[in-house]
Amino acid sequence: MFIRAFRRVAGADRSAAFMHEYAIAEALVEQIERVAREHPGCTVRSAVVAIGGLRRIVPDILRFGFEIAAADSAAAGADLVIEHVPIRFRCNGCNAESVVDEAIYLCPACGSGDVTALSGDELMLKSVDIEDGQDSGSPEHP
Amino acid sequence: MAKIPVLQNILEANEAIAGQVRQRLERAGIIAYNFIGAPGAGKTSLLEQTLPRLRDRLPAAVIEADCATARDAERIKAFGVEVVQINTGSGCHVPAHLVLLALDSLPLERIRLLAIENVGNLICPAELDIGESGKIAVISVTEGDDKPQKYPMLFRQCCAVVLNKVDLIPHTDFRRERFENDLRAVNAGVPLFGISCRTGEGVDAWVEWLIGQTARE
Repeated sequence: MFIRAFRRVAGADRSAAFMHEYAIAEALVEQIERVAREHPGCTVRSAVVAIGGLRRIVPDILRFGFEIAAADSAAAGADLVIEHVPIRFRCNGCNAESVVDEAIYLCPACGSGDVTALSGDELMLKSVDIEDGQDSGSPEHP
Repeated sequence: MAKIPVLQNILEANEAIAGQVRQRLERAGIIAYNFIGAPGAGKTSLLEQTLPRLRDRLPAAVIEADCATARDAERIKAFGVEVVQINTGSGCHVPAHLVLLALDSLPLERIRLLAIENVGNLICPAELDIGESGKIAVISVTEGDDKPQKYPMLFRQCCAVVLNKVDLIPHTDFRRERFENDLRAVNAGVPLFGISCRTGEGVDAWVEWLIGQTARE
């Protein structure tokens, strides 16, 4: 039996310094580029993302990673607007809904651990603000 | 200026491939566990303790992921189990597309259990779906008893927690009760197995649970 090896090639070196946020920044830039390709000639001004509290993302590090990942892409120079989504859950025992800062899944009302998460794990690109190029009048966004 | 609504999961590209992995595994009747833990927690040691106990009971294969070297795969190979090594370079987790590639090298028709040992890291591997049936959190006594709430993504999502190096508890400040309370606050019902890969303590209970899971499928 021999050992077959696979190696990751793309993006390996740049992601070394701040991996967690950088991997997310890279995926984000790819998505923004997809939007930009649908609007030829456009300039991307900003992107709005929603990040849940469970993700433990440091906004400044994500913004820094985004800046580097976006260089030489359609997202270069765009602002990243980060919306924080709180950790929310509903207790299956007493039905109380709670918002917590820390990831503690115990109902503050009755102490039960039987809870259903409602939000907090979001990692979503919500929208991209673009400025259309001169030669690409989009009928949907005049 | 125009606002283009997107509303897409940022990790969507990875999740689409994870869906393909999951479909292939389900079709082959394989249950796959993604072992996640810090470097040195004992992920490979846990597999070394587990694989001999599965022999003749549950045909298994292993995908080993590390930044570099095939050392872990060499350790696993010694047990006569099919193993594929993935090297991620400086990548801190296994992306789904490398798992999909690795499946091509495994005899899927002959196995029932696939153990995927992720890169040593408590954060990124918990974020990325790789098509597994469940995540196993591997943590060791020497890492401290306060980790579940520090790394809630992993401990909230995992379907079992293996606490390794329990033989060292008397020599450390680790308080098992504090660890369990911390864990229960993040994931109330998750099964917890206290084990020592060095002495073998508690490993049988973990293995019986594992076999029970595949029987239920």
